[in-house]
Amino acid sequence: MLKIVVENDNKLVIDGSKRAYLILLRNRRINIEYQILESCNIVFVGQIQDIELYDRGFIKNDLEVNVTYINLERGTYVQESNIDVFKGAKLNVTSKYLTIDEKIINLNYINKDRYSEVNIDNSCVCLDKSVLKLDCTGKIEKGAKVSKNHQSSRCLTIDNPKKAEIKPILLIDENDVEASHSLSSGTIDQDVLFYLYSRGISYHDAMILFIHSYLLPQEEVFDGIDDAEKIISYLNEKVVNIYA
Amino acid sequence: MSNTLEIIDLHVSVEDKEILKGINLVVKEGEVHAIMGPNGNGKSTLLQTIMGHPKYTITRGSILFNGEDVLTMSVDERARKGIFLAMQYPQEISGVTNSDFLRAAINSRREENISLFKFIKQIEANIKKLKMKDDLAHRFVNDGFSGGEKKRNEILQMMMLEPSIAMLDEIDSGLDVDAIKLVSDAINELIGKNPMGLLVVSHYERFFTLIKPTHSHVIVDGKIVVEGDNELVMKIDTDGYDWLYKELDITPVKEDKPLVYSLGTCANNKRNYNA
Repeated sequence: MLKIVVENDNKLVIDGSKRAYLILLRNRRINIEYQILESCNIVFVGQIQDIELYDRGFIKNDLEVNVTYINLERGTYVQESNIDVFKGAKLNVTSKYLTIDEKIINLNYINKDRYSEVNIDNSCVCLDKSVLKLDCTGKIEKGAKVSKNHQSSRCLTIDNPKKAEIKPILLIDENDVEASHSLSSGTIDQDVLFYLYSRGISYHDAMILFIHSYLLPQEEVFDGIDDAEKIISYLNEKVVNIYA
Repeated sequence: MSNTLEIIDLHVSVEDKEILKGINLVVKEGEVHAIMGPNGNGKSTLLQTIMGHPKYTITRGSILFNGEDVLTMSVDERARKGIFLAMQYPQEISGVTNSDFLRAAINSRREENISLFKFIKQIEANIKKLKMKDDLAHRFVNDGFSGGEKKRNEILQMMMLEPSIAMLDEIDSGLDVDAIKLVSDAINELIGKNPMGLLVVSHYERFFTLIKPTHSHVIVDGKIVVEGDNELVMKIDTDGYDWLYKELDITPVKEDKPLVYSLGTCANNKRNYNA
């Protein structure tokens, strides 16, 4: 397993020697470009406040790649991601964002050629007074026949965020394709909250249970990553101490 | 000190409509109180009000638990004091596992968190007792559960939390004969271990035969109109409520039935329903 701590303006070639890549975001500004030549998992985890992440990826023919972005940090977070998916390749994107202050995110996943597939699953939680702006574009380009591009986003708002704006965008420039987008956004039902309270669970502990369920990824996301337990425990701590 | 719940002259309204019109009731630990009455006359309102559901407005009266004013407590505070409500319609909470939910509930009333080992041992023993599926702890709370599974899950929570006063709102509806026996055995075992007070709403004598009420009360139009013991339960099971209405010259409240609209073919159907 290659563990990469990205320094400023890295160019990374994922050469097929590893199954999984953990990219810990510990710099203020990160530019990363990746050519993917073998099927693999890539996991980005934010570990400091105030990050700008710009990532650009290319997935070559017939590969299957899972990309996960997790950012539960405070401060301002800016992300712009662009990944091109070529003939017969499959890209699964999972994103998990906790917005305490401000997050501005722009995600673009493009079917460049025939038989390519993109599946996007975004989960966000916005806390009181926070600002989230997430634009997520799935695009099927001319020539990408028999391709698929599906995206779903959900957003949980807690207390009164200033802004929780998610735009699912679908651009289709070819016939004979499959595409969909969905978005659900809302707060917790009062009867569900009453149920939790009636078991002695306080408001903050109830919120932690919900944030946990929205944002902590399945353990399989970290398959093949050496420090998986350490990272899972880091993320758990972040959620548990959110109101500390 | 023995745990005591006192309800004094309780009046409760929903959207300016008075539902409870002066309820007086004392439940002590070790006692099993059967609450009966026709639908829509205030039984569930009473239990939900004791638990603190925000839908209900208390216009008069008080509720005391061990002498403390329950009405000034938040819902979670009431639960941490030892009051428990097994709901008629338990909520589904997708994404939150039973295990996380129950551990949070148990830890909320302890100084130190329960150890994972002790928790697993306890939950596994109770799941076995209630003959529930082995993977219950890892399933989301009530998500995709059958009606009977939801009710058993309420009892599982009660067994794990060991309350001082437990209120069961039609916990037997949706359970088959075997499951009623199983749930009653679990309740009786818990009473034997931890002498809690029980306030039980049910329409069925079968359930009351198994949990043996020490007291019984009939609520009609927001008031307790008659009280007794297990014999009253038997009489109502045999004769229904009509003899009571005649004897006391009272009329029950008719249950509100919501209007049903069919979506899609709206205008015509709406006209028909309103006609």
